[in-house]
Amino acid sequence: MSVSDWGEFQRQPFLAVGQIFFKTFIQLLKVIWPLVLIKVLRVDSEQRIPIDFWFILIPIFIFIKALIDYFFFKFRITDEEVQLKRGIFSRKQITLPFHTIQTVHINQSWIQKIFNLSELAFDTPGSGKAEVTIQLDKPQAAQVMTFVIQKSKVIESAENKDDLISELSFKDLIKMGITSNHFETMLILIGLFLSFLNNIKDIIPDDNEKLLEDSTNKILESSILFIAIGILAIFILTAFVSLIRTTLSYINFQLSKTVKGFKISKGLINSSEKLIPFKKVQFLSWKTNWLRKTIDMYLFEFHTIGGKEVQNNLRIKVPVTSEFILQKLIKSYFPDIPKAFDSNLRVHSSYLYRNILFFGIIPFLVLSIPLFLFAHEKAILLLFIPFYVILYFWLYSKKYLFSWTSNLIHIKTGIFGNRTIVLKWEKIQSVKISQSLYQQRKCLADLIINTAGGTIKVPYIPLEAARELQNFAMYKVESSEEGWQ
Amino acid sequence: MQFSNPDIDISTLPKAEESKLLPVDERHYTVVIYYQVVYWIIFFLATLIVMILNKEFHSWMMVGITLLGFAVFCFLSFRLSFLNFKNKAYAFREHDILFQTGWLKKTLHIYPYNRIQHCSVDAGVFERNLGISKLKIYSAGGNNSDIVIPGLTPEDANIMRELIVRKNQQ
Repeated sequence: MSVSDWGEFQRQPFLAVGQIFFKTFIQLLKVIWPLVLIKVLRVDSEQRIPIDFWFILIPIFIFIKALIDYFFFKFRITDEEVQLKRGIFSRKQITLPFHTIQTVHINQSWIQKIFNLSELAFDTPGSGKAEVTIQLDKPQAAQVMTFVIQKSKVIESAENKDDLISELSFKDLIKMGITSNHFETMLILIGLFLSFLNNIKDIIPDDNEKLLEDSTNKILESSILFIAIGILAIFILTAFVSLIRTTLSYINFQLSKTVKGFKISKGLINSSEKLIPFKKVQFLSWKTNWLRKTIDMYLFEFHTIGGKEVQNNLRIKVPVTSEFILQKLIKSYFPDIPKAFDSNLRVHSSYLYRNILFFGIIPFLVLSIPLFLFAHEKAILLLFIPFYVILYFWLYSKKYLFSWTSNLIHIKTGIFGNRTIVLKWEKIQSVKISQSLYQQRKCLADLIINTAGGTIKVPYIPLEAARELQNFAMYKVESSEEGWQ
Repeated sequence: MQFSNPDIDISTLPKAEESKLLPVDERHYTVVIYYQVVYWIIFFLATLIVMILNKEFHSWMMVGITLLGFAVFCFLSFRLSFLNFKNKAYAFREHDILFQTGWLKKTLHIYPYNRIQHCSVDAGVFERNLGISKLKIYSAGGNNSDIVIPGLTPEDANIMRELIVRKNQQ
């Protein structure tokens, strides 16, 4: 691609107006849908005329906004940087030098699919809010992406062949859906349900609200058997929803290795394409639960440089369907991880007791007294809290294993599943030893390792060991030639 | 890929815990006291207004309980900030900065020069009056990992900043 195509300031393709219009419209609708519902439901009242008025005015307003957004957005790509100009009253110019760009993505939401556009997104460190996106048609976007990637790295490569590492078949998707974290889905469902209730509260008349309250009371009064059946129904619904959720987010998944890094593309309704340069990866982690372990399936994660916002946006989770692929991904970060380690550390037993006390027994006592007064024998259900907490921390402290060699840190952790973390010493930014009063008395410490891809905490290890590790980490960071990015 | 893996004797490594840490300047504590006083005055006035407006507080017992509670929290807060101040210390080594802080949760944070992103020297209102500044050091390791060394004279702070910049370029 020649630079001259993009060297002058230019607008996005005209169809972008349509895309902006729909996007704004849907965003607005998400916020005001309860209001719209009220208006529609209460047709019989005297507000009939203003409704039509609003239904015409709002789209016109959005259309004008879309036009303004379109006409006052210009971009150009020079040899060194991407430049954007936007805004009508406050003109804003953004310059993104290529060397600061961490990753480039191509996303395509379903709205963009209608208009045959793709969105080119640039991520830079620490700029979570000022994310830069440009709408282009698909071939153009791909062109710009390769151009920027070529420019942003020093290494010039002749062959640019992508090496496909893994693809997910329909069977893999089903497997993943069935074995996914249903608990997480349940929490999301509950959250959605609550926000739905909250929204709908304004619409339904007051006596309906009382109905809700009544039904809540009825549930409290009903037998434990009824509650159990209810919970079972929720479980089935949850399993079904998580199946759909994983299928939708991982359909068409492809992972390939290019000269510069890993390329990931996925999605049917909202498709996205991401590139992760090898150098930007700070540490790796992969997890599996006992169900997934039996079918050899892992969820692998690259922890890359970036601020909190960027990270959530960028969190790159890769489903891995065999041990072989897993090893291949790990090797790209560290060539040869030993099977067993000489130096190992476990969490001190007082970690278990202290956490059971603070998160299990004390909250239980505080909660159970008032609940016992109001809900009587149902308060027995509360006994699950300390048991759950005991199980949680017991599993955690049993599974936690911190091991290291002179080249890398290897952590095994997890509660109901297993999670493994691999970190090279050179990727460390700073190391902190933290001791509470209790830990000071017992000569224990938490070791907190800060990296540009996230923080790793090693709780309740002997102070001596923590100090040795801190000194060693500093030695590695300060003496190593290899940088962190 | 060339790959070597020599054994390292950990006991010969420089030990951070043996470094001599410099305590933070007394004037920093004065600043902390100023902030505490301002905070407690505002809080006291707010409590007073609530007590005057609310009829339930119009008895000597309620006034006594409130004032006692107030005094206890005030004392604890001042005591804690004194202990925190006493534990604040730092040291500049050849390749890194040590920063110790906290009493309830005592931490020792080590920052290698070659991982520092940038640093700045600034001073608040009280600090300017007392002629001190603070040195802020930022790394790429996330928001929780940035440190602030308070109670430095502006000259010292600038010298340290220069030092960090110089070390960083090496």
